Amino acid sequence: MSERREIKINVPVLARVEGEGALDLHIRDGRIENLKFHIGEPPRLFEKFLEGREAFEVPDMVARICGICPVAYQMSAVQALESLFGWRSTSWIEAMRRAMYCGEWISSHSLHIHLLAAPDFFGYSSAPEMARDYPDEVRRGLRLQSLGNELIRLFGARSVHPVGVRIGGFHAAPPKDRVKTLLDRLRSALPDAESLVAWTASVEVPQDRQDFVSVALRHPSEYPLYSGRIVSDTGLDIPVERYEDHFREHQEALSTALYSLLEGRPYLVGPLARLNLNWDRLPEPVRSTLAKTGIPFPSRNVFHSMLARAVEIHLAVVEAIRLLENYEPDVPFVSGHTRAGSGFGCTEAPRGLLWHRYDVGEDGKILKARIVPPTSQNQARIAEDLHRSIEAFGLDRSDDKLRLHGEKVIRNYDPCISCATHFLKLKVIRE
Amino acid sequence: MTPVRVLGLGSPFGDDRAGWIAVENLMRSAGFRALPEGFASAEICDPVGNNLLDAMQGASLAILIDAAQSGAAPGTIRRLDAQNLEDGSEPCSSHGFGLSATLALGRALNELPPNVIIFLIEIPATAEFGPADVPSAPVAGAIPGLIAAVLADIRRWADS
Repeated sequence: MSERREIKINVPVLARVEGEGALDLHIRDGRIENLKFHIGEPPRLFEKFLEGREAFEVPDMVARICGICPVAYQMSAVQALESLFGWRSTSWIEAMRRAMYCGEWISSHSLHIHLLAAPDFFGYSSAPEMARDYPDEVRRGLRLQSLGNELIRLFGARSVHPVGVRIGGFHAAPPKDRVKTLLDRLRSALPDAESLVAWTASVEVPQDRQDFVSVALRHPSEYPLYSGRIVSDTGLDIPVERYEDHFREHQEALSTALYSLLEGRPYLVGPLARLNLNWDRLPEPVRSTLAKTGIPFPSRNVFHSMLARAVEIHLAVVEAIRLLENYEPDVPFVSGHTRAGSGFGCTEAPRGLLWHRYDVGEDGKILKARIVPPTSQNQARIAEDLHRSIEAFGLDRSDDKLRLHGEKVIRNYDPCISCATHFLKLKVIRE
Repeated sequence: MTPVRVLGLGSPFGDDRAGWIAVENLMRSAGFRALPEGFASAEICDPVGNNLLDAMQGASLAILIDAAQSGAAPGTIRRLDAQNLEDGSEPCSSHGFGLSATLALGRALNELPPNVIIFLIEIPATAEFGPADVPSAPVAGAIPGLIAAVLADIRRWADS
């Protein structure tokens, strides 16, 4: 019999996780008495900054929410505002948006797999340490990340907080010769992307099957990225504008990020949820490459998130090639009048569903903004997962092992904590 | 791609722009413009991490310029050889893959240029990182000396 003991583990700062998150674990008599995953990042107040701003300023402002997924924020924003204003973008604009978004997926997922998550599975404390023993794998990751950044730069002039996106489309169409050069790089990255899928599938991960709800966009024909309906594996199937009828956010003590529940339950967004719901939308050769791994989807093992990211990198490279191979510059944007009302947008950020709502006044200025980022949606699921996986891991393990396992579980979600702190209840008393 | 690359690090905020300002001034300087065509380039590199490794790739000499707060007198310039730096142990994240982690990664992969020199400009402990257009007086005062030192390093390398 294992010894009965009381353990308190506190991880005040999580390494290799963006932002200030923390974990408190209290075990008494072999059971978890209390487990808290806190987000302590100071609130960012972006939604308030947007109030009173002209609608056309929104894409550049929301890009600043995240240095890793600025394209996602821009895309959900332009989609919301264009749908309100009734601007119909062209198929060229839609295709180029998808291509740019592919760049962000490639870059963000490569960064997470190689520099943040993989060291966990190979027992290293950092990426530079892992790079000494696995230089080729880390180099491959860096090559893919650079390629993703270059694809964002093609449309956005720079990879961090790009400036090329506007309501209605892009400020300019990229020149043909630059697209041609990038297309060559994308084609030569295909073997890297394929071998990455095989490699992540070969990594030994904990076998931990869990019951969870997956939520993602679903498109009639494509793997979802820029558009689709919001669906779940529990039967939800709604248009983007009905999000607020089914998803509720609430505040909990000790966290500056809101918790979000679907019909009262935690849920998962992000690469694994997307793949679970959309594996049948993978084009060839992505589908065959995944099939060769022998790992079936949908998967109930959250540690398959790393494989899902690799599959999505492969998909994004294949998609970007398809979208750019017959590239001709075209009119880069549509325009029209602004209109008062509420507009909704939802796209698939690298970390999952990113939902925006803007209320715009008669003068074209933002009255109210609501931005629901993926990490705050995953927050309740992370807490639920921690509870189950730490129990499954074995509470009789040493404190260090429990701490490491907890961190590994959290990092697996690639939480972007700064983005998640999108809300603060503020009470002012004036006397 | 030129054999000598000067990279200004930092952000658009207050004295953290020191590395950027140094690069802008360097590019305007007579000494830099007198260098042979295709020999040296200078750019603002944002952010560090993989972009910095890309920017240094294939160079023979990379000179990095950044702001620092170490407690020294504001305006102090320090010159370090990247080969002599220890791997940092600061936590990394998707947004925060800092200079020392980047250099550690480059070293581990054997992908750093043979010569990497870092110039650090000490900024005041009270520096504010607002959208100021002009750097604080000690930082502004240190820029000409820094540029002379960078040019001296480039010349020394060219002569060797």
